[in-house]
This record gives sequence, structure tokens and C-alpha cells, in this order.
Amino acid sequence: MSEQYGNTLNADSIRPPDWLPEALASVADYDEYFGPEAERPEAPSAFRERCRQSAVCALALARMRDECHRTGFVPLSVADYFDGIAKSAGVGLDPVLEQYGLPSLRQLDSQSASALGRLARAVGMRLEVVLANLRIALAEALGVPPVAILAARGRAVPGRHTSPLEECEAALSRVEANYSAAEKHQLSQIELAARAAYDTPEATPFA
Amino acid sequence: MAGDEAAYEEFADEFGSRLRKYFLRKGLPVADAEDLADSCIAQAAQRISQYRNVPGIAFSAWIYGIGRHALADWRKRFHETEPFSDDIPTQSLFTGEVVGDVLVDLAVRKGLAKLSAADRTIIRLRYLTDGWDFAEIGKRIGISAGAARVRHLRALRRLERILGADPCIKAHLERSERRLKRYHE
Repeated sequence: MSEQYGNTLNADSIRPPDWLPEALASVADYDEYFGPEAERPEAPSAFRERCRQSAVCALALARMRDECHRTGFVPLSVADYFDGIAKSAGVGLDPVLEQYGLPSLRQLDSQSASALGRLARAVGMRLEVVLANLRIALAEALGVPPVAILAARGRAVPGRHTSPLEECEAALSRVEANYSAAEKHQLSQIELAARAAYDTPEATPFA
Repeated sequence: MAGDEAAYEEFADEFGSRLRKYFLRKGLPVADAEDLADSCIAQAAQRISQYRNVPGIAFSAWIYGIGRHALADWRKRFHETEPFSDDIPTQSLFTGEVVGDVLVDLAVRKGLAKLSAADRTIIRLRYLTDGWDFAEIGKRIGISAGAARVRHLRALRRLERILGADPCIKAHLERSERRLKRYHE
């Protein structure tokens, strides 16, 4: 490790290993900006408010994630699901919706589906679960009877499905078979947008 | 919940502005510095429960580690000029990478503490205070610039020997080597 110092003391031609000045600079940076002696610097009030909102949103997401994990899949529209999860978790949804650029959970298009996909991913929902909730949302918007009721009919056939999600997916498939071409296109756009939210590298890395 | 919200807001107040200043001093435009600082706050807040209370590592050091990695990631995305910049995907923020780098800083501090006062002074002036040149350092401690260069070299050699035996430094060097290999692949 010390080979680059050689046997001479020609300090102009010899340089330390790259990592050492970098490590020393890192120590210096910590002391200057984050250390116990470093004063908290001033920052614009708008920026400070933005950070506070981000932190509060993060807390809400953490609570919602725990609640989603406890609850699992429920055959509700995506709006009703997130509303219910937030209430169960005792958090306000408004900071979360603002963070994700969602004026409303009820809006259903490819742009909102993308944001809903990112939100779903952030709270740890599996892709197939949020897709089911989105499909339910569209079905209800198109005037279909409650999917939960349609799914329950499948239970009359013994051994047909093994999980609430499978029941729901089967019911949705039956419903969607009767969609018009425009409605099928709308569904595929929503699904594509939600899938893309799971495909892209996420700034908030959740498993 | 209200108490928790207040605590999170205080955390954001405390570290948001520090991160912002850090990124500004590292040359980021204001908008980028604020975006990155806000992103670090959000990510740290979401993972606070996973903060590992490693002895000797302050919470502020963990936040600083997150900021450092975010800065390296930003530089890689927008500048691509630094061949030795960390090629660490963002996931590593919440694995041992951040803790590993914070432990390296801790090892460096311990190593500095083992140096003589004279050696420590030279290194602090050269690296820990805006990078004084040898003429300035020599003037400060009453020797020529040339003598300051030589003393600096000897002090670095001694520090390198001390740190070379530290397992955290060895692990850090191994990680750096792996990153460099990936960069060249």
C-alpha cells in the first residue's frame, strides 16, 4: 500500500492513494455540515416546509405499509383501499396524495394510474394486487355491480379458486369480456401505466 | 401520531437544511440541491426504523452517509466525469454500504487521533480545512513550504500505515476495487 511513496521524499511527484484524501475530505465534510459543532444553516422557508411534508409523508407511508402488510388483498377499488388503509393506520392521506401528484384517488387515467402504481409500490403492494384494485375501480366507474359480490358467486363452485385475489381476478375477467373496445383500451392503458411504475428503478427502494 | 409527526418535522428541519448546504457547497445548482436534499429526507424518514444503532456512529453520520451516496449518484447521472465515483445503486443506501462508509470515517478519525500533534496539524490543514497549500501551511507552523511538503508526506505515510491495519478500511478498499471493476466492464 505504501509503494507509491518509494524510497525518496520527492513530494511533488508522489501522491497519496486516492482513497486517503477522499476519506479525509469526507471527515472534513461531516464536521463542517453535520457534526455536533456545525450550526444548522438557514434555508428558505418554502424548502423547509417541503422537507417537513416529505418527512410526514414518509411517516404516513411507513404506517400504511405496515397496514397493507397486515391486511393483504381486499376486493375494493384502489381509492377505497387506500382510503381504508390510511384510516386503519391513523394517517392523513392528503400529504401522501400531494407528494404523488394525485389530486384525487378517484381519478382514473394513465397518468393517475402511474402515480397510484408508484404509491402502491411504496407501500409494498404486489403488482398483481394493485392491478386488481385498479381493475375494480374501472369496473365500478363503468357501472358494473360490486366486484366483491361477483367474486363471491365463484365460491359456489367448490375448489374453484384458492384465494380472494384469484376469485376477484376471475370475476373481473368475466366482466371485462363484455367491455367495449374503447373500455378495453382504457383498461390496457391503465394497466400499462401501473406496470411501468414497477418496472422503473425506484428512488425509494422497497422490496 | 401527532407526536410522531412533530418528531419527523423536527428531523426534516434539522437535516434538510444541512443537506441543502452540503449539496450547494459541492457545486449543485440550487434546484438540484433542494431536490436531492428533499429526496434524502424522504428516504431516510422512510427507513428510520432500519437505522442501525452501531456503537460510535451518530445518527447524523448516517444521514451524512445517505447524502454522500446521493451526491455520488447524482454526479454519475449528470456528469459522468469521475472515474472513481461511487457506482452504487440507490438500494445500497439501505444496506451496509452507508454504514460501511460511516465506519471508514470513524476509522480515519481514530487513525488521526493516533498521530502526533504535529502530524495531525499538517493533515488537518491540508485536507480538513479548505486545502491549504504548502506555503500557507509552512507559514502557519513556522517552516518553509518545501519542509511542509516533506512533513506532509511523512504524516500521510504514517496515517496510511495506521489505517492499513483497520478492517473497515480494508473492506472499503475491497468495495472500491469491485466498483472499479464493474465500471470498466
